[in-house]
Amino acid sequence: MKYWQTYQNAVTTTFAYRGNLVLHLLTVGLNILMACFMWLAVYRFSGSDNIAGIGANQMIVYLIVVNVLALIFSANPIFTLSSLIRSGNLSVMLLRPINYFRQSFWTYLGQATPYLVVYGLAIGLVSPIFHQGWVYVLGSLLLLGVTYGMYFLLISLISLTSFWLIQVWPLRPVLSALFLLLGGQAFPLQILPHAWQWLTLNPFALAGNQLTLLLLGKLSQSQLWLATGTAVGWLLLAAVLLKIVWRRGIRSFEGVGG
Amino acid sequence: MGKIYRVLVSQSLAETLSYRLTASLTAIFGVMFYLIELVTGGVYFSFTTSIYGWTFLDYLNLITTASLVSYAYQFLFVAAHEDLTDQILSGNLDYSLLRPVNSYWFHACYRVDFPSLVTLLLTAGIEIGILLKLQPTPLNLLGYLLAVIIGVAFIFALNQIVVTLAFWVDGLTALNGVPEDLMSASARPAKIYPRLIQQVFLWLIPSLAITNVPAQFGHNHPTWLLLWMGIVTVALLAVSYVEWQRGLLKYVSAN
Repeated sequence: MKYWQTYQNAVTTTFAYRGNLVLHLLTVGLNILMACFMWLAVYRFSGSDNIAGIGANQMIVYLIVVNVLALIFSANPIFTLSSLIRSGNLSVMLLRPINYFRQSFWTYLGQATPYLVVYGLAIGLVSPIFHQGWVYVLGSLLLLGVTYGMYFLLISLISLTSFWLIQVWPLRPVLSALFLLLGGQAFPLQILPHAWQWLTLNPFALAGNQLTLLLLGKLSQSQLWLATGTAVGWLLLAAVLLKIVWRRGIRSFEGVGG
Repeated sequence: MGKIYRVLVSQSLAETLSYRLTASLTAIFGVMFYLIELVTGGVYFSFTTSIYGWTFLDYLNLITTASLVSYAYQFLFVAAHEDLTDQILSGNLDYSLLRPVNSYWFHACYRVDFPSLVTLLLTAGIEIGILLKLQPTPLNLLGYLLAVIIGVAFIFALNQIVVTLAFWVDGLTALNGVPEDLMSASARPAKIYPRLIQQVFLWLIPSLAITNVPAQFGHNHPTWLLLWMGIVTVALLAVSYVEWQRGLLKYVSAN
């Protein structure tokens, strides 16, 4: 399997640049601290132990898990493709007997492996998922897999803006902010009024909010299937758009060498 | 230097006008980011009217000031910092080193990011509205403006130190995001943090002071922390300048 080597390289690179790994974990720790202390202050001054059915301790666990998930769902493919397009070196990739997006996916998976292991261990050791029967366990794995693929395709689709944008760095804070708000990283979307609950099915929420609730055992069987179905829908939409936009983008690309 | 800076600014403007789509989207993304911060604050304050004595208006003042400082840094320096690491690593500094200019300032001011000007003006407009409501005295208003200027210099110095590390360290890309993460974690009332964290980030690395002190001045509560922020910022600028000079000794040209 030719992409296995790509995956291994990505894992090796992640561990080779241990400084980057440590710094990422430190900054995530900083974000978790900020969110936890802010919410503890809100609990304290609201005079209630319970906000929209969520206790202060549950909120802390939620914030820790959702922030780890934010590491798994990174935006790195955007900046990799942007760099290849800007330098004109995408042509080198196109000449190779590989599919660019398949290679990019295995790199994405390799980079996220340390965090996926942490999430997997948390599911195996702490989560009540395994007490809910094998159908639920298989459904959970399916949701995790489909959501991961869906988010990768979404980020890849966004990365295609590099064909037309010279600078893509402003996308980084925006995607962080979208994950923060729409993904439920700043607060569980369940605390929003009922009229806004449809937000829990947006792609960022599926990756952040729903997978966190899954780990915490707060997702009912029907919610699990609804989330999986929606993730499949987003995945198909992203795949179709990716194909269309890639064709248009590649026409406007000017390469070097080769 | 003033004449050179005017030329660099006009080159930046020409680039921005050449890449209008990029510039427009950058501006829209900036506005979106501010709006998201605003909504998050709205959610916090939907459960309580006050947090450690901070009302929603105070909180709004805090995040708007933090955004103002951040966007002013982005407008003035981020484009130059984005390029500098690559130029150091690829050995392309020769053209500026040969020029009869101060290379530290030349590279720091190499480009301005015009799209950030849109978000800078937007947050400045909102902040003017907030200050009109809070009605600081002229002296406190002066303190506020000084705190904002020191804030911009502080973020510049932090980023300059991190970017210049490329002379010695290659591949530690996550380091470039640390100042940004530090400042976004600091865009909250200092009092939400435990005392130890407060002391570290108010006095040792005064990122919390950078965001909280201007808000205090806007509220007519002047504080001596402003003076400390100024001292630390000048020290960091001096460190970044020495680091640049030492880094040039390590520089290897590609030509």
